[in-house]
Amino acid sequence: MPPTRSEIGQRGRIKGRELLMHFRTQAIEEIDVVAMAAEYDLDIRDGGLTGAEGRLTRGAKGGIIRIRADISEPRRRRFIVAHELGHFFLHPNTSALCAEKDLVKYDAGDGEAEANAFAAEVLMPRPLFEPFCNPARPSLHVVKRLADDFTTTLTATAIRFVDLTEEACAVVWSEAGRVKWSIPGRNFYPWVPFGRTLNTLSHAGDFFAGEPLPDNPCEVPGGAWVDGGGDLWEHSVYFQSLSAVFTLLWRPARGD
Amino acid sequence: MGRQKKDRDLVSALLELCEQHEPTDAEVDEELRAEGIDVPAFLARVDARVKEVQEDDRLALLRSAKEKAKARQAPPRSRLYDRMDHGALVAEYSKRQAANPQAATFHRNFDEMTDDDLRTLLEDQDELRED
Repeated sequence: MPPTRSEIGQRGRIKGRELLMHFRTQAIEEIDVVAMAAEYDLDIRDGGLTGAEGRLTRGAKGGIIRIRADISEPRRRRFIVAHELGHFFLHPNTSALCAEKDLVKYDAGDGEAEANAFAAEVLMPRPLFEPFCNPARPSLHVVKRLADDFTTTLTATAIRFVDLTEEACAVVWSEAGRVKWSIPGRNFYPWVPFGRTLNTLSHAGDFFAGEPLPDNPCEVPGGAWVDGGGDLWEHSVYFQSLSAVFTLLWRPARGD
Repeated sequence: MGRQKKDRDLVSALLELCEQHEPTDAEVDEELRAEGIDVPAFLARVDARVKEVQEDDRLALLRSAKEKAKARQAPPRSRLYDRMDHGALVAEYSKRQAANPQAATFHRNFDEMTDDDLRTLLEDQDELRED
């Protein structure tokens, strides 16, 4: 049986927790990944990289983390630094070149998923993040507030939220009318299949057909996203720079 | 009299008291009160100071790491490899890998690197070797 996402990420999460414990981190504002990198003789450099988001080059001690020069958004930079730190601690004989697609891998049984689990644990430590993961109604508004509090990207925060909430939630990334990837929470099933063509029952599908996206979560038939019944709540946003729609799905428990 | 001196005197007085005989907590409190000393306020000050020291100690590593990060300055790029074409860059990288097989370093997604990426990679390796 292939390992579950939880199993794949376990090593990354443990290493992330170890780093936080080493720095005796107790509050969000104490999470300074640039300082953490400096402590291990890792220099952060802007630019000198065009084919990827981030790169770790190791030396006998320490190393150099490069971030693509046009990535100015502080939250994305933080995630890239944390991800490369993950490679540094988890994959001792490896230098790493990390493309955008690597930064959203959570299921693949490779180093990228481990580095992402590490980054998520360091930037959104479970003890600090989990208490906010069970709101009355999950939505991207809730996720956005958390992303603001933790200075993290909306995507990484939503994935962490879906991972830790008791609610049946999933996140879906769509491009050109198709599901590029999806990540279900532990209570969300069936999975949203990769490559699925979006239909106009979903707001994301509507959007690719030329309709605007609603600002708030809306109820849609289950068939909009998965094979099988039961209604879902969909909250989608458009990332213009990436030409992608990012969706949070929530299946309310009966009676909600 | 400064608060610290006052506190020191108070601790001395307490120790002296203990040496004379083993008073009960109530006796100590009463004696100190009679001397005009506010015991709860004194204990609160001690408690606050202990917490302050503990917090300072807890954040010491982060503080020094922040200073380290601030002090780090990237040297200017050497540009040693600017004239090399793709083949020469890959050959140079492969040579380095072959020369140091124990390091067993390999690059994830190596094939996705542009020529400019390869140039900075070689420069970074040079710099890290000098360290």
